[in-house]
Amino acid sequence: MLLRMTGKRLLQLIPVLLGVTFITFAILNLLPGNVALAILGQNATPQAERELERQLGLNHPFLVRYGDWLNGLFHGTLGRSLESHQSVASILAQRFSVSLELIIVALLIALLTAIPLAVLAAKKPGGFADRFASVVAMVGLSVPGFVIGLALILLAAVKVKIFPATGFSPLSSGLISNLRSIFLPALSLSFVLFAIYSRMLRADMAEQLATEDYVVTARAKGISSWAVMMRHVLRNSMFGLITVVGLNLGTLLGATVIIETVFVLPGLGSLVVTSITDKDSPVVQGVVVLMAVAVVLANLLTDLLYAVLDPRVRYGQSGR
Amino acid sequence: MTTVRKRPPRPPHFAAARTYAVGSLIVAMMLAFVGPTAYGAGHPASHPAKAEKSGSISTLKWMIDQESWPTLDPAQATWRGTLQPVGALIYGQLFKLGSKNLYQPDLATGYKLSSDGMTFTMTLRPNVTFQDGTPFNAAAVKASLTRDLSPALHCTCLAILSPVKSITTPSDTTVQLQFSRPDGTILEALSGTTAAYVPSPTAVSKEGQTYGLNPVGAGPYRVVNNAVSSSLTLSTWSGYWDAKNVHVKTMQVLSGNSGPSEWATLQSGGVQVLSLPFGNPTVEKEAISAPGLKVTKAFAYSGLVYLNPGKPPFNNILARKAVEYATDAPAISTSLYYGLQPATAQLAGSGMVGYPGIVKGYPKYNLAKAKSMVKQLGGLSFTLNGGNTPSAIQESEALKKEWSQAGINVTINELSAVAGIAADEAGNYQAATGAYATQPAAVSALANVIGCPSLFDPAYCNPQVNALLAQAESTPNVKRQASFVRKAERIAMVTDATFIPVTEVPEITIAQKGVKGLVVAHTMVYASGVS
Repeated sequence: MLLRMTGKRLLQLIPVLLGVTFITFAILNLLPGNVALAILGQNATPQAERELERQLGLNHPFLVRYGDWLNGLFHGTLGRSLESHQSVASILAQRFSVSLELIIVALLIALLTAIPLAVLAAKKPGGFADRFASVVAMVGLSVPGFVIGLALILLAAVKVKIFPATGFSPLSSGLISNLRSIFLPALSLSFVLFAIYSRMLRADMAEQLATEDYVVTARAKGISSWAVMMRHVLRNSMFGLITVVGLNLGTLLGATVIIETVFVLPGLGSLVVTSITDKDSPVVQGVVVLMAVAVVLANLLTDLLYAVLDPRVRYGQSGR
Repeated sequence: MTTVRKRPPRPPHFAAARTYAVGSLIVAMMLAFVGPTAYGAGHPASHPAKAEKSGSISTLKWMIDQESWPTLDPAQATWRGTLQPVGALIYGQLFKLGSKNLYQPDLATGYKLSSDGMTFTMTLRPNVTFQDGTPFNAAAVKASLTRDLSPALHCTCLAILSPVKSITTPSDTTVQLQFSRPDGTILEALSGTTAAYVPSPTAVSKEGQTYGLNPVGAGPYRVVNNAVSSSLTLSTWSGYWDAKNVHVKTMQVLSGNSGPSEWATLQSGGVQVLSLPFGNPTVEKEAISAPGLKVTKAFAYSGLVYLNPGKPPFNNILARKAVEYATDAPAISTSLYYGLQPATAQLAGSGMVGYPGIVKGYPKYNLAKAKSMVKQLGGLSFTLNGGNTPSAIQESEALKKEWSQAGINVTINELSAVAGIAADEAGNYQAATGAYATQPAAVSALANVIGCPSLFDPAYCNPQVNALLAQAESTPNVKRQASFVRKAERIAMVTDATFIPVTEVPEITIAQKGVKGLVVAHTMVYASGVS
């Protein structure tokens, strides 16, 4: 059943990719100007522009160009950047690892802080942990990520000089310097995630503690309240959390655009901004394909995790 | 019996109200703190990282605002990524631009221009090699210039090299250029444009289309790592002809994002040099008062407004003059730019070679005159195509407000750079703000702006202006060039009233005081000798 579900999801990837790439291509085509203007700029005489458009194949009709790109995709190539002539696959490989690390570290920070605080908050509603989590959640939801990012830069990079203000240090330069360079951007991104995860988890756990019969039974059997929380209530609440984390991934990929710009990180987010500005369509299409695949795979992973946590899903019965 | 008095229970909503009050206070404090202090405005002078002692920098980190290098191939450098100043680090240059309009030897040691201005002979430095061991000689320079002249590669230097008819190499260290007409701008081309950079012909042949990702030059630094348009790591190599004058072993060039975080990076010591090619008066103001920083600037160009004389309402010269008289450039300079971008009556930047000086007779701000002209016209309304960056929007709004005082109604259209160029090309504009790509010399810059066909204002064409610019381009003498350019500008700005300069925009370089040897000459920044 799991295999069938996985296969079905992977097949669904095809129409998703076709849809998002076509829409992206169409929107890019509608924007004024083209990459020939971005290359030539103010040296763009009409003749030079026409010649460069011909060289780059931009003089072909929209559907022909999309068809050519799609043909390349089916043959396993994403094409080359119209500006730098670098293969799109190699550009994405360079940039993807940065964005992936940013997202993973942000998720880890959010989950490692949200889960314990939510447990404490649900155990004692109205207590200090509950109120603290509420305040931080409100900050995360109401203050834009780039403002949080700038505040962190001022506090932790300019005033106190613990972390670098901008830039990315790859793993090859050392683990410590890599983590130092990713920490502030990931922390900025994690605020809103913490807000969503902690409040959702806290509400779910509090509701279970108040209304579910198995909680009463467990307590009646003499199981300690912490054991009830950790072994039963939290595990049941994880379904909701996993769903939200999986659904969040698409939003997270979009949020990296702003954070990578503020912190000058060479990731997919900053790449897509410059590529759209310059109408470098193979690069934009490549990023879109990668993001679409990432979102579909994340949703698949979410469903597989359900099966791990809930045996009823694993054995084909209806889930929670 | 003692009665224990209990505290009355708090209302049930008290805890929630307290929570939200505390949270709101924190949010408000963050916004208040981050807003004005993002640039340090009103904040005590910043505390940059302790400057290192001279000669002790092993790695120099240099952040350049919005720097972009899709390719490091000089023949294919894009308009946005003109390879200044990175190209000089990798390739060196044929000639260096010095102060006082003097050209200095570098990979070329001397030149001679024939008396009729039709032949230029350049002598190359002997015993120089490229970073891959290929000899740097006349054949390599000829190959490079031939590539530059190929329309298929769309070099940004194509226009300035257009008079070159043929290239010969009488000896291994001599290159001769024959022109189709006298060329007064060849030294500018070979010092301040991508034509100054000579790639290794071996590397070009080997790498083909992807040469620009792994460039090989004869300059002081070779490329170690190239994260395109993000970060470029360079290191010295022992075969450089002037290695004894290169003191920094590793240089890292980073692309900045035009935001407060660039300034924060310099303040925190994350970089030692920050370049702002498009200016930034807020950062400049803060940097000037910071004790550990040194600010150098060159006025590279003027921000301007250009009017479409081929389309209503500006096919009527009275409308154009009304806008000229209604523009209070000094007020914009003071209110938006703290006076750091001075108002100007000149389209060229004062840091350019052959700067022609202020155009005499350019109308000064006169609101009464502007109002009277608008009244004669029976009203004046138009759309202004402006940029879509925060500073461009701010300036467009300020101009709109000024013009409204004269009864001129303006709608602002915010466009990206590419969209703006597309609109210009299509003739789809009534008025637009703009600034041209920096050129080292005024004559080449203004040929693009007011020459015909103008890349800026395609509807503007005055044969008299063209003739004067052609004379300027044919004259090697910089002072005579400036004189012709000044006359051409007077026609375009005063007689035809089509171009309205607003403020001069500086290219700013901010360095920690411990960084020595950074040379700013006109609009060029040379960093090979830093320590």
